[in-house]
Amino acid sequence: MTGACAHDRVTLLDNEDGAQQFAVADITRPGQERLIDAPATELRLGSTSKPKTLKKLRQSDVLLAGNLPPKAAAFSITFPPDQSEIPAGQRGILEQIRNELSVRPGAQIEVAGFTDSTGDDAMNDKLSLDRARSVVDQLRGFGFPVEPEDAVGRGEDEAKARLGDGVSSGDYRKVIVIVR
Amino acid sequence: MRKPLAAAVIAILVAQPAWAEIGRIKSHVGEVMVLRKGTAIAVAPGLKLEQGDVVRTGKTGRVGIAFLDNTRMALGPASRITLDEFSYDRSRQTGSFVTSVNRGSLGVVSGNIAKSKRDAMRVRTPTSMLGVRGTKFVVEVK
Repeated sequence: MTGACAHDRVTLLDNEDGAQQFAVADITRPGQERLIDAPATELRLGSTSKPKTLKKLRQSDVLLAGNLPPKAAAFSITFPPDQSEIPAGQRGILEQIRNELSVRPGAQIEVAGFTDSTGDDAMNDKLSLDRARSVVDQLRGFGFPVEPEDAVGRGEDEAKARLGDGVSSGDYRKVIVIVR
Repeated sequence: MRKPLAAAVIAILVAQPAWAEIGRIKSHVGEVMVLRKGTAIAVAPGLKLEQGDVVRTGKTGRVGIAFLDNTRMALGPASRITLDEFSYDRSRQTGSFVTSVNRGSLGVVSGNIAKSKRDAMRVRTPTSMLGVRGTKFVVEVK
């Protein structure tokens, strides 16, 4: 191995928030996959060598990880059955979102509406999007720009997958706001 | 002949426009540049990135990027990456994400695309193709 790429590498760092999937594979050669799946393990790229375990992470990698943007913040606003107006009791959460936006320069936002699994699919798709749009209207009222595509209606899919069809549940009558 | 045609039509219907936002610059220090179709764009927090963009740092440059699928990246000094492919269905939280590390160091915390299907997120280097299954790693290209 000679040349500029002799020491190219991929290094797996510590796990992030108990993520289930935790591995990187060199899939350059079909059928000859090389995998690392433990913290502080490393593969040299452009070679067929085995993974190596590091005694400790490189300082430069720790520094680089420190430059990663903070994890997205998530907020949940709940709604009464069949309604898309934000209840008065949930307005404090809007203030929390406003605060989060103020400490994240250049924030990107995603507003996803959900429903429980009562009612039909098409109605729930619409209701979930209406809920998302109610929240978007409020955020725009704070002076924060939100693009139309940042509002997503996820309908009843999640509720149906967890609880089955036709189940009323306050846990799924919600809008999740993600601030990145 | 019908199947490929149908597949092509579906691909056109599903594909997001080439200019769609895929993520944003969140932080930067030192010399950082985004190249879009050969034109240099000044970097600031909130700058929207698009598929095909090249992100480059100088000797003292560092930049943090957050993507729509919750992937986060940090680019170290003297580095260059190309955001080759990013397609993401925000309702289903599935898609495909290919980044080339042309040189330097890239730190990654993978997001929803990597979770959606095996090797839906890939990182290309001059010698290799990596399948990302999660979660936090560094790729260095000398």
